[in-house]
Amino acid sequence: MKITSEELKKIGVLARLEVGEDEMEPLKEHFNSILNYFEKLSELDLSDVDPFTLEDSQPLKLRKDEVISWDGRESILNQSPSREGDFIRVPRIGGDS
Amino acid sequence: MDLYGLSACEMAREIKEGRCSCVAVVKSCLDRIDMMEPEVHAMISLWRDEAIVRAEELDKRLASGEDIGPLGGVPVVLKDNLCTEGHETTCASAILKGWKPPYNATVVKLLTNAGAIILGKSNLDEFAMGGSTESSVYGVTSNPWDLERVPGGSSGGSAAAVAAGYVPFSIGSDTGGSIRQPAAFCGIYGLKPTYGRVSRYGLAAFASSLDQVGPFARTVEDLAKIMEVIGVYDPMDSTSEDVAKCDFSSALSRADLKGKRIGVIEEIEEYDYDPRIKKALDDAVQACRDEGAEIVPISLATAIKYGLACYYILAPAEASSNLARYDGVRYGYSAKDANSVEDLYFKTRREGFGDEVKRRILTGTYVLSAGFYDAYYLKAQKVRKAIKEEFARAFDKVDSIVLPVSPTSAFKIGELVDDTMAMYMADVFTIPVNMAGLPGLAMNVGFSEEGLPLGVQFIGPKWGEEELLGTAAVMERRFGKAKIASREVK
Repeated sequence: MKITSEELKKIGVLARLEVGEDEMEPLKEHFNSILNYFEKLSELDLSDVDPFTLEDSQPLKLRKDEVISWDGRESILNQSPSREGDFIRVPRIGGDS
Repeated sequence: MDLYGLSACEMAREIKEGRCSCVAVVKSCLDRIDMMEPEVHAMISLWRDEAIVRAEELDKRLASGEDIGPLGGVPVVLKDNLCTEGHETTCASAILKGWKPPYNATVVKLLTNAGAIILGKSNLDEFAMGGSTESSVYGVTSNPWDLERVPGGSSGGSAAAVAAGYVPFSIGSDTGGSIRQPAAFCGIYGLKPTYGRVSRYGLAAFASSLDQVGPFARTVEDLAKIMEVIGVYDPMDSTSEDVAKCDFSSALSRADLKGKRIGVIEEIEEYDYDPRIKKALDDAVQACRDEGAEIVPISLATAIKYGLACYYILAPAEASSNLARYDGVRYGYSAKDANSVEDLYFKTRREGFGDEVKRRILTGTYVLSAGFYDAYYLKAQKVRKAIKEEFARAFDKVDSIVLPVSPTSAFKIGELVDDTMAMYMADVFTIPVNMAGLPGLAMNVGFSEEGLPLGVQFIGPKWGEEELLGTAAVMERRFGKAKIASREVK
């Protein structure tokens, strides 16, 4: 299994992570060695394994649906690099129009 | 002995019985930090003034007859991926530089309520991804036993801080060995609790199905005491389980290995690793035998042969999702001059994340992407299930399992930086424990000729911490408590 530059760029888009030209070759090398390593798993016969049964965990508990007041709103908004009043300013969303 | 060299339980007793003050303990630890830190570099931030103010306040409360808690006046450092209200929490990443969480992690709250005094936040591999503490944007931490070598990772700062005598105990997190491996490299105790024992609320998420918070210490008594404080059900973490609270400390004195069945893994016998580590394992096995335990060979073929490949699919997959939140909008680093919101995401993440974090995000995105999910992620989930079942079968035959922590002792700084796969391979013995959600305890059983700590780990069944702590207490009587790295520093 070998990964191409095109595939790697596509993965970068899915991950919202720009992959620079200078990063391409070392990343390809890494992908090729790790994907090759993952091939090991094909040695196993897993046809009988159901991966999603929960064996021994406690059933998920739900919290009571009640209002718990918290005064951290300001401190959360203040962490934004571009707060404007009660809003956070971001660059334009959408196309060129 | 200087105050900094006491264990956490000793410190708490000395303070409670009025033989020393909280302020004196904090000052002793800060002096030790000032002496060692220029060379060890275990810390990302120090809370010097605040720690003294808190110590004064605790001394006052004590003077007025108040009970200041089981860890009253005991200094601690926290891995810098645990949220601390109003104090920077960086995950050793440029992308979180300057971020001050608006709340405390549950573990931080519990420790503070128990009277512990936070001295600061310790270094780690960026977002806890690594085994050497070399990928921190704040620089490399050195092993206090040999400054040319790594302390292990990812909780390398927390381990180095305890080994260097900064604090009697510290807190780390373990996703694939990040508590146990640095504990072994630094010659101290490290406990990765059962998944669900300690709340992860406020721990910056890496791989949520594997992450677990746990302590480092120099004595088993301390580990037990800390687990009593932090092993508490937390409704704020949906994976926290409401198990009966254990009195770990009182179980220690009556701990005994007579009649216990301790497993040794056949596949490790066949594994090619450092003969010094092999010798350490043999010594530990012999000690168990001498104490009356029966040594039982067991097979964990899937875990040992396939656990690593399985982990390096599942952990990056979860990381790619968990780290999607770092987008440059709400907090942390934000790239300048972005011309659209998409462009802001792409640039912020390119500039804010380091190489290893990027590798994991991209690998994780790949194995989850359309067309590859079945071949990688789904297959790895099946292997994980098979590993869990394999452990369940093993624990029908044994009470605990003893095995190496890492195939080597602490390696040189820079030695593996350019060989990612070799760095990954070093996790082979720690990862299966996380895959199965079990508790694992790493401890020192000796030193190599060049003075490097050699460790082993014990694995217990689910909720088997009491068993593990008991076993470690028996081993401690034979191998001694963990030592502070005594090398003279200029």
